[in-house]
Amino acid sequence: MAKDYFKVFDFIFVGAGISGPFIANDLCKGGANCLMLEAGNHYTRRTYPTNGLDGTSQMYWAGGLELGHDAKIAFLRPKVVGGGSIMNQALVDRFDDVALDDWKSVSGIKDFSMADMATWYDKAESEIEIQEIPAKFRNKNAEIFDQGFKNLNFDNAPLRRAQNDCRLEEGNCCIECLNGCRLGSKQSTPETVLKTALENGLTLASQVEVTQIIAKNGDIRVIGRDAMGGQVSYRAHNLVLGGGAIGNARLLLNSGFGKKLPHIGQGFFCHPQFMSFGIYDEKINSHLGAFQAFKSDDKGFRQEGFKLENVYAGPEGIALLVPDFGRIHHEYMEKLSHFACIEVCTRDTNPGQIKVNRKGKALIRKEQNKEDINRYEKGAKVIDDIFKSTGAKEIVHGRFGIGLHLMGCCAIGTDPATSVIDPEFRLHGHGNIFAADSSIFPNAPGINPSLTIMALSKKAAAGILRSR
Amino acid sequence: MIDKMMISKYFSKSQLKGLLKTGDVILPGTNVSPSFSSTGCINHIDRMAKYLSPDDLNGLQMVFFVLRWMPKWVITLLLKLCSHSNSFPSFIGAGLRMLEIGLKGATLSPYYANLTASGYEGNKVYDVIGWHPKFFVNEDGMPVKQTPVNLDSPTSEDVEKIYKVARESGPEIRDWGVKKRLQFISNLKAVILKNQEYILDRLQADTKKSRFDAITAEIFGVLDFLDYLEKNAVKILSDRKVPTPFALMGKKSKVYFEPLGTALLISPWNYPFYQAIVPICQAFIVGNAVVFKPSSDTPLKGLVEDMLSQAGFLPGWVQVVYGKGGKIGNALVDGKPDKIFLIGSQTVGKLIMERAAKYLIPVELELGGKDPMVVFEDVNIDRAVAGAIWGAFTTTGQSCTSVERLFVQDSIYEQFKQNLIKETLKLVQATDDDGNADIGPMTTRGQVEAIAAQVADAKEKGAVFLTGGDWDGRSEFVPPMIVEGVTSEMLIDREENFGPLLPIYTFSSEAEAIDLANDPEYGLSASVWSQDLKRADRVARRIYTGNVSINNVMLTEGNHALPFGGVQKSGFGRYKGEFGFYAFANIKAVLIDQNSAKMEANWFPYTAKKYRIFSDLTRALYSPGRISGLIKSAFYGLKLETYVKKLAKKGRK
Repeated sequence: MAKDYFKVFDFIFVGAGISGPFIANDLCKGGANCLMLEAGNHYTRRTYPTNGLDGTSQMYWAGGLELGHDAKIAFLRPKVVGGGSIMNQALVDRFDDVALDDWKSVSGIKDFSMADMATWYDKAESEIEIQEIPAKFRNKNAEIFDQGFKNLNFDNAPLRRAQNDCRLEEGNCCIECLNGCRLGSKQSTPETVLKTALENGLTLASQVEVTQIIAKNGDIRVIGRDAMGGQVSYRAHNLVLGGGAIGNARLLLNSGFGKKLPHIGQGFFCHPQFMSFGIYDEKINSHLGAFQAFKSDDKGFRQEGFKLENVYAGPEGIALLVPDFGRIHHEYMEKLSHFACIEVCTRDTNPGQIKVNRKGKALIRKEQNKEDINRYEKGAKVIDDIFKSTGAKEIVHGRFGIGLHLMGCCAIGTDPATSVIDPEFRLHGHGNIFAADSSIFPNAPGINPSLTIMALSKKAAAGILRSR
Repeated sequence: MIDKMMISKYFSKSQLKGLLKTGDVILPGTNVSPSFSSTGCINHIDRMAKYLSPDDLNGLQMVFFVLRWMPKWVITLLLKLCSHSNSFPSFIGAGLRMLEIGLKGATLSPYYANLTASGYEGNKVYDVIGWHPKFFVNEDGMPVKQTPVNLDSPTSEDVEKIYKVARESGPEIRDWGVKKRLQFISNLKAVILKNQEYILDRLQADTKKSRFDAITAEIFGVLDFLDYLEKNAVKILSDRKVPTPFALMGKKSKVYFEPLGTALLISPWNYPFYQAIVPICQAFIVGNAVVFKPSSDTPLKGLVEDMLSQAGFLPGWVQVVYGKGGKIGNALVDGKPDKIFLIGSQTVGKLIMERAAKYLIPVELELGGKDPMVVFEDVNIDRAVAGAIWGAFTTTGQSCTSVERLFVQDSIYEQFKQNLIKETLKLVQATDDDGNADIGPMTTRGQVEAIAAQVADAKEKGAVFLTGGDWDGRSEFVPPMIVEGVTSEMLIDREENFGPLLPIYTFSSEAEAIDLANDPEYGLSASVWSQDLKRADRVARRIYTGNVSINNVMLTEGNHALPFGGVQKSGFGRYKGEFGFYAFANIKAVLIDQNSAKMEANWFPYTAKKYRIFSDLTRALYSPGRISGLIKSAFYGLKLETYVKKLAKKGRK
């Protein structure tokens, strides 16, 4: 790395998740000299950990779960080249009017409309392949989901997944895709845009955790720690932040940007998700085959502020969610193959907050207000009804919620007093610091964020290229 | 097989016990589910602990340390409270929830990842919960699987892989630090003690030596060495501060003892367990990865790995390579280890050193000896006779430090000789199972032939066999042979015999004894026997050899704080004791200065003025006269510093 010390890059990217590689891909094609820094490891489909323990430990910050101050929601924050696109469920949905109108009014940015965003969604989708799980490969867990919706007259829809060939006809069981897809089917950034960016000259340094940004005289210096704990430092004309909600907020706060931009760290959202399990007499084997195929697509649910998903998780995860310990715990887990699973994902309204302590560690403060709890309870009630209507003998609600869609903290908006990123995706007052990842979300959309991160990144990249 | 012993880089033994206890409260097991502790999944806890944030890790360490001392019902109560965390006010509830997720995370994760200790035979967790996702991948999608390295008669490609594994393990072993590495040594000690009878059976099967010889030299010896490591390794291998002279004021000087990397250890057939464990542990405790090659005559196949594995060593840390020397030995040297340590014969020593010279690999050789025992007239004859018999015939004379030449002062020679013959004839020779035999048969056929050749040569040239003269020259039960009238023409006088052959000689004076005891070729060990300790010490100093016992025999090896090694063709370098650590250490000098704007006086630019001040300073520092010298050096030192500062600011005028 020493050889890069005096080199001045055009762009430094902090974080190699979804946004960074999407922007870098376009900038590298445009001939920019880019360096991407990522705190996590760079795995390939040949080296993804295949054991649940290793996967969770090695690919998330803090070795798995992070807890907020009230420890009611556990946050899963990816720390790996490819970020969320490695371990997500690969759902790619466009936002609807509800989400975009809301953003428009909060941020004061008129571009947040279905018509304007459609261009960018198209461009984002052109970078990846999207498929639905064919009906014949739906597993029993998916059938229960579908049957329950039919019984109760709710609308559902097949999932649109970023994948190109899961080879389900060969009998693959894709549950391990949550720790990275060994088939190379999941359209994670290392399989798509990051790959082409690297071919176009992007320099990628993994296991470098950026700890400080110094913006002076129109230049950026980035300071970080490498895998050995040594200090590294790089220089560039521009900086693109792609460390996600917590990562970006922590970095900006630790670098002193909070004084002029008081909104940094404010407005943290995470779509709290709660898994529920229905236990049946017959075997369900939710882990076999394609482990997810459906989502709810019901107008009523959208108005109520929740959605339901047909999902599953590894045994380490489920074991943490089932109640009690000792013999009772064993009794539940011994029946694991009889479990069906549905998750309620709430569109949270109560903003949380990220602060840093004296050691520079991110502290998460995120509570559910009455409205948020209400949304969860309505969703959980529907799940109960689905399980009951399909013959479940017992229903178990997960012991705590999970925050996977980590959004906000650097909201986009026109007013520097209530936002952090300007409508041109630049940090207010800094023409050379950009961000277009989930941290700029002004509130919780209630829809999976991946595709919108890609679209916003495409838009940001186009803007940067135009101004160059 | 006893349970594999667990050592964690991140948790102490008592914290692990706390984790195990908590694990068994959360996962006590049912008639189908195994309990947390029975799976041994705790062995994999470091795979998780490594990635925890320091705060979380500290928290868990503290909690487990406390829970270790709590009765199980307290842990149960605590977890019950956690289950009802939502009924508590928020700050208590949050604490309980954190505790619950911490405790459950640390126990459920390894358990439900289907991990177990090696050799676990109970129900697998995945079978119990019915977790069998299939995943088919063609060559394209398949993660590269490592095929196990072939350690038995490896080809040169295998050897390449062996060293690759060793080099990958190196940094890992180093990172554990001496204290944690020592825990593996303590475990090994317990494992050996527990498996003592089994080890003795295996030893006797391979070496045929008597059980008593086996237990004293190989079990007791090994345990004593491991005990020595436990008590001394940390002290010896800790960073040391050394004085920094006045001229380097403001700086710190330190010595670090770091591993060299990969050590190749080659051992002979005579003490196959001792000569395996001792060098392996000596190299390991310094932090080296080890490639160990036992003799093909007494390989104790699988025994060493088994013991190490039970003690928690990972397979890559110590790899045992089997097969005939020669080609494999060459290939192992060609693999370019960072250090070669050989115990063996001169012939092999030469070959290895020659080959190592090609790559400039440092070697350390412990070769044979032709060790003298010098007995003066003022000794207690009974004791000296018993010592001579044991020194010459223990392990049927197959020790590199066996007595091979016995010099007795002429005034007591006859009496000594008669006693020697009488006592030798009492020796019981057998491979016993109860400890009742003194010596066993010879271990290798080759050695029987070598002895037969020496015996035939001696008989032909007129030597008198006082005992064992009736040996047929073929039986592996070579009897103890005391030989008189040996001359310098005979092989038995010059060559190491490595068997129960004891030539006896007379001498008349101290000077003659020293002259005779000093062998022109060898110099491994010697013993001097006399009531007059001053004389004994005089003689001990004059014998050119690596080790001397006074009024005892082969006993320097009995104290693991003493170094061991030879001079001349008996080899070089020292192992065991404090100096033994250095054989496997990169002794690194470190000088620490502050990062400041200060320039050093000895750096450029050189000027005539600086030269003058420096010359004055040198004179002041090193001339006799302490007080005035000190004041003067302080004065010139200050002057030099001021001038250097000025130079740095303004440059050469």
